[in-house]
Amino acid sequence: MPPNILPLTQQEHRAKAQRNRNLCDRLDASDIDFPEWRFVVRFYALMHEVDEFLKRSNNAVRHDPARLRSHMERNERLRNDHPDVWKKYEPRYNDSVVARYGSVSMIRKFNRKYFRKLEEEWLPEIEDLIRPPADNTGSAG
Amino acid sequence: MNPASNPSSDPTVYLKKAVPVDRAAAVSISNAAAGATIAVGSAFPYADVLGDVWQRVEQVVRHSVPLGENMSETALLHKEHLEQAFARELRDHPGIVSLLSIDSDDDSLLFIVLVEEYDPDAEDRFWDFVHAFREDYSVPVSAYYLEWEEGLPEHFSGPRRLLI
Repeated sequence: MPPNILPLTQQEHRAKAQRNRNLCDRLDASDIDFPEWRFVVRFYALMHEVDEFLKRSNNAVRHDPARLRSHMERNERLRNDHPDVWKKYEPRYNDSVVARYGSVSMIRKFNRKYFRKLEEEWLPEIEDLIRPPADNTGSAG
Repeated sequence: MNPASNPSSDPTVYLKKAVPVDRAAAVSISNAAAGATIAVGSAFPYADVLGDVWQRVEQVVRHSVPLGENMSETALLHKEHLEQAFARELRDHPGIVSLLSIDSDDDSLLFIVLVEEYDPDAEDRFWDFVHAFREDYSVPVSAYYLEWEEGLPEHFSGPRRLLI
């Protein structure tokens, strides 16, 4: 998050994630066809889920939860403290960089096959790792 | 002796020395490996001695930091050999048409992999490879896996090398 923005609470992170997911659903239902930006919105939903996870798990580690101010800080935190999450998150973070800053030639990967894999495997794998324990219990049924 | 200026066509003579890991030896290794690197550009049988070079350079980098004025050269050498190792191991990866290495400011490696037709399962396998490479070689690697339609990405900015 930018330095001058007040840090979000866990609940606010969840709300932002849900709002971004809602936008993805609206994009899917529309004729708007900018897949790289569809991915960016979905990635930012994931990012807020990850931030919520970091805040939740943060009490047990050394970091100040209010000081997560950039992608680099978040990535570093994941790499050091949650390497299993980082392994799954990193490729999608890199994709978000390509989607945001890459040339039109570089965004060809954001096709139907990509989104199917994203929704069916990649995102659920990460969400399984960061979901609150209570939700893990609930999802078993 | 400066191996970099040695006209020998067989730089392996420098690589076959038994080298204990200490500061003085590390400098020696650095110079020896530098000799090998010079020779690489002139039909040197690179693959045959890459493992040997790598092991010794790795010793230098892992156990002899800081090396003062030699560190910069060693770090660069370390990076170059890692790039070659990465490219060699990736050469048979299905679908990869190009592997670019982009110069970074530190000792980390930054690769852009270009494939003819994007396959998310192949990307999974690629990332498995990247994670394993990081662990095997103890080196930071950043990677991008992209579909690329035609030609080489000449417009990519920054110093770069085409490894495959």
